[in-house]
Amino acid sequence: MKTEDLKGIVKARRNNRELGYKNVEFLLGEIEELPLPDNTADVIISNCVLNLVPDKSRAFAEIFRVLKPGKHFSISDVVIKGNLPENLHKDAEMYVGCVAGALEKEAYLNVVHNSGLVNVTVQKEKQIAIPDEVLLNYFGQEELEDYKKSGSGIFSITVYAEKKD
Amino acid sequence: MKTISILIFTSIFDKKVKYNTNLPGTFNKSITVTSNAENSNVMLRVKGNVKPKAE
Repeated sequence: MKTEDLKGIVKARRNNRELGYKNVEFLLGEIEELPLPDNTADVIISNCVLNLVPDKSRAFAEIFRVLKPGKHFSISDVVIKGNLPENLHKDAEMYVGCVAGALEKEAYLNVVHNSGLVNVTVQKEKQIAIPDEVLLNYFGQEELEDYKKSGSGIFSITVYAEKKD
Repeated sequence: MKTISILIFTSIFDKKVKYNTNLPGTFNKSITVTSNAENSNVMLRVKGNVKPKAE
């Protein structure tokens, strides 16, 4: 665990205590190894987190394990269509915006399917427009024009799936 | 009363902005943060003033 993670959880727990919530609990752990027993959650939600997890298959296997049978998850994540320049994909600044680490859309959905979850549905999809001045850090002017015409891009998707009863 | 358990994944980011502390005076830095929020690109401006080192 990084120091930032520990500081974050300490702050969250302090805020929770000060606000007096009794039905909220903060857990610190790896998504690939959730610190929860099997069949615990009625719903799992997440926004822009799973694409940052190195082992996505393991993460979705854990989601499957902790979901109660018949219950569902709804997750928004960033995915890629087509090809992105390698340096953009790995850039730390893009990591902050969930772009680095993102899988190609079909590969992402395959990971969800392969975890055993059913009724996998993409409920929402929208393109994330990155300003030209940012993209020009990764492309030459001509390459940028080609990239725009190629249909490649970065998308936010919301995926729903269930654990069979 | 029926209770349900909701598990929410979250993560914490921090972004460092560097400036030259050897150059006294004001500085302006900006970074663009891209995300999947409705306003997907947000420019953050950081302004400050570097004071000369005390002799």
